[in-house]
Amino acid sequence: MVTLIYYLFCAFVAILLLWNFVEEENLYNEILYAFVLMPFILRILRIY
Amino acid sequence: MSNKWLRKTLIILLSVIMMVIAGREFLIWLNEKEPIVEGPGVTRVAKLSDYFADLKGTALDTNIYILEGEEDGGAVMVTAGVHTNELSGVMTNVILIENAHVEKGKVILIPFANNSAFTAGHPGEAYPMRYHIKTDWGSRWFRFGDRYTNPIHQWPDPEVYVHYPSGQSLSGFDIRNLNRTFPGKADGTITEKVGHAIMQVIEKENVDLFIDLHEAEPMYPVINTIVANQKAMDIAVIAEMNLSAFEGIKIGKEISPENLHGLTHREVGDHSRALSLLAETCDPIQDPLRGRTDEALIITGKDEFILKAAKLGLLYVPFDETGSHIDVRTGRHTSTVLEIISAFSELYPDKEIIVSDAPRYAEIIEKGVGYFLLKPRG
Amino acid sequence: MFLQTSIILGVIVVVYILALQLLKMSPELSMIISAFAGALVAGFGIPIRHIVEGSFAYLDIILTIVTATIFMNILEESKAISFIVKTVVTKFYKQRLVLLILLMLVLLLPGALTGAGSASVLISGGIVAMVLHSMGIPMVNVTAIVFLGAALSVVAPPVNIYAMIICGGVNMPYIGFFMPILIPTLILAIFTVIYLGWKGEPLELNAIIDKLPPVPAQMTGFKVYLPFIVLAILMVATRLLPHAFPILGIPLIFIISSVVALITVWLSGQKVNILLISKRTVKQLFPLIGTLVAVGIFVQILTLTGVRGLLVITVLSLPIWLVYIGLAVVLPVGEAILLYGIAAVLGVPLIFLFNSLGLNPILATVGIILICPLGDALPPTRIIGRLTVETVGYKDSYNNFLKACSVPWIVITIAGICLVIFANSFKFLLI
Repeated sequence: MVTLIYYLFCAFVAILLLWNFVEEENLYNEILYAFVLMPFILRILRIY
Repeated sequence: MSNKWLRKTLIILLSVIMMVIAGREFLIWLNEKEPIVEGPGVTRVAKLSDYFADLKGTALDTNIYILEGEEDGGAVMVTAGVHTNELSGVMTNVILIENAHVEKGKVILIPFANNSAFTAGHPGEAYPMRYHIKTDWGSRWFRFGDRYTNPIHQWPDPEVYVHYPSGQSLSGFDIRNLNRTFPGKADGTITEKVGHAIMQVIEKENVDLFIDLHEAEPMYPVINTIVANQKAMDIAVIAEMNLSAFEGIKIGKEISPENLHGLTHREVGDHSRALSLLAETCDPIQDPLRGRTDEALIITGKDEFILKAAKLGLLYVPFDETGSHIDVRTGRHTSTVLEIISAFSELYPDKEIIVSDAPRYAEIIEKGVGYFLLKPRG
Repeated sequence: MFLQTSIILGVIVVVYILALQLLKMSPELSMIISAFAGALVAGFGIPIRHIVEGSFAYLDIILTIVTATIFMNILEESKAISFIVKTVVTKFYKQRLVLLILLMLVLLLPGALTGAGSASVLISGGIVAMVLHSMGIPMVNVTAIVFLGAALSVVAPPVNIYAMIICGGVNMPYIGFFMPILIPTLILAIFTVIYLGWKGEPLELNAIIDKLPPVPAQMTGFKVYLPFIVLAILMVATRLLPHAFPILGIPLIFIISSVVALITVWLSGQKVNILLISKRTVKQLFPLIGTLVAVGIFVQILTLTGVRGLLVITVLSLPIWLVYIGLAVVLPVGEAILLYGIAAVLGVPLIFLFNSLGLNPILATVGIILICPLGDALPPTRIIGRLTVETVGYKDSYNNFLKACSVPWIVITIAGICLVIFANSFKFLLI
């Protein structure tokens, strides 16, 4: 149950990051999003 | 599509490509296990889950190799891979599984005690995923992992880990460190369950002697030594003397600190009938002052920065240009295991254990670890 | 190996500076780009697996910061923080000393709970600055108080990201830090606010009350404090009765406290949009999340290529007096360049060194981490300095702001160095 909440929260943060990424105007910040998203997505998929 | 959206799409694509490339490697790490050959001395292969069913189907279930002699005697269990970046214990176990015969008594070998910790690295440590040992017929590969259970198998960590049953406070992440979770807990975390399962094996197989194999970084004070539970100190004393006298191996001995809980040398000895000991060798790849982190360092143990630290007097172990080769480390551990078994047999003759066809320090150094690794079928 | 690794380090430094100065990239992206360059020069090609693995290094810390900041933002949105400030001002407007100290505590709270100085500036910085200015304190001093408060809030317990990074790096439990970081932080924070804020004029109560944001009538008393009470109970209870609870972890404790905060908000008849608060929080924290991901990648490559080892052995080889004096400069400057990365890159080897000298590692760590956050006002990043100036609306020169910070800055630095050198004499702090 607790673990599930952590996965769900990770997914929630990943969605918020994507949402902010869509609204982001600065190229360098956009590129940084590409890296920041990785640990969240791979953790949700239970790959790492 | 406007420029902005094209740009965003490309950036997301970049992220996806990186995740796919890395993810593929992570999945291999997670799922592929090295082949182990059951040698002529192996009489049974069991699973940890045979002794504690909760582990069935989990990533932490692991093989137990049992070598039984024709004559009854005592039983010894040797574990390695409690910390999966400390590999010479794994090599010692594999050499025994693939070569040794037991004439009297029983030898129980668990080479990959924390099977989950073999499935990921430690972010920031940049460990290789695998290492290869050259043999006469080709090479054998083995997984290299982390000290801790993979977070995808146990998450989250508490802020402070309170050890069961002692109540001692430890760092939160140590709740995934198998050598801090003994004697385990049947309804605890998955790492605590592994500790509990190993204790069940000890009980059900009537284990008299327990040896846990580790490695330590050269800047760590507990190194090249045997740590013994107070009940097993006499065994450590005899083993140390014999290793020095007959094989020229300089090894320390120390008593398990009474108030340091969760470690095998303390808890196995305190919570079972088995006499428990732990042995350490010198492993440069764990040291934070190491240079380039790669497979060569795992195998040769040669490192200029550690050499410099030796010259500055910062190490707890002799270290020179020859490094700390895997052959030397495995040789030390194998001889230490055999010598501890001999010392136990000397002190408890009614529970004698006789192991044959197991190479010792000098032979392993002369022929190399690879010489003793069999060719897997297929 | 020394020469080869020094060349790799040189390439990393040059690429970092070029990315930062010529291409005007953020320090985070510059770190990532220089990590790629370092791996390439070291003959590892583009080690995607290591890059991605490094990005995981501080995932749990990131979740702690995000959940803690959502919690604080709900409290800000619900005007609970305004209520607390209003209460403090109304009760103590005649007692300048008490008022200054309590305002400093309000300033410290968000950073202490989240581990992020930006939380202190954004959540309580603006409102505290308004009250301080009304107390006749010059704007430059107000700005300095908010910045230094934010810097000290990063150090204050329970969440101290530097200590967590250093502990992870040296394999030391993050246990026993609470009092050793609380006591020096409080003393230094109180000194700072008194030194910079003592001179001024008495507070006009009615004038300031009119200026403060209105608090909804039902957002009062117990309701305001309930989320904090739940937070404190969960934090203490999970430690005292660990086997009576499932393992919650700090992020879930903040999530539960946030739910309680939301309930109190609804009970007081207000409406807050949790989705928008969360989105704003993640946007607000993006620089910080980016930093932690970038530092993770950077450290992974430094380790892979042997540069981490080079830094460690270099620090271990230096004359000790040089290390002690060097802390005053290297830590803030390193912070300004690497942000939290300084804890992993320099903090870890320093603790190895101090430990080998027999100094208490917890107190030595506290000494180091007191000094680091000061660098957040320095170029090239000026990350918290800039944020403070923008938030409090300081219009004068940046150098004057730094000058205003100078005396407390020096005192904090000396305190930090003393905590390291005389770590064993401060063992009484290890309560």
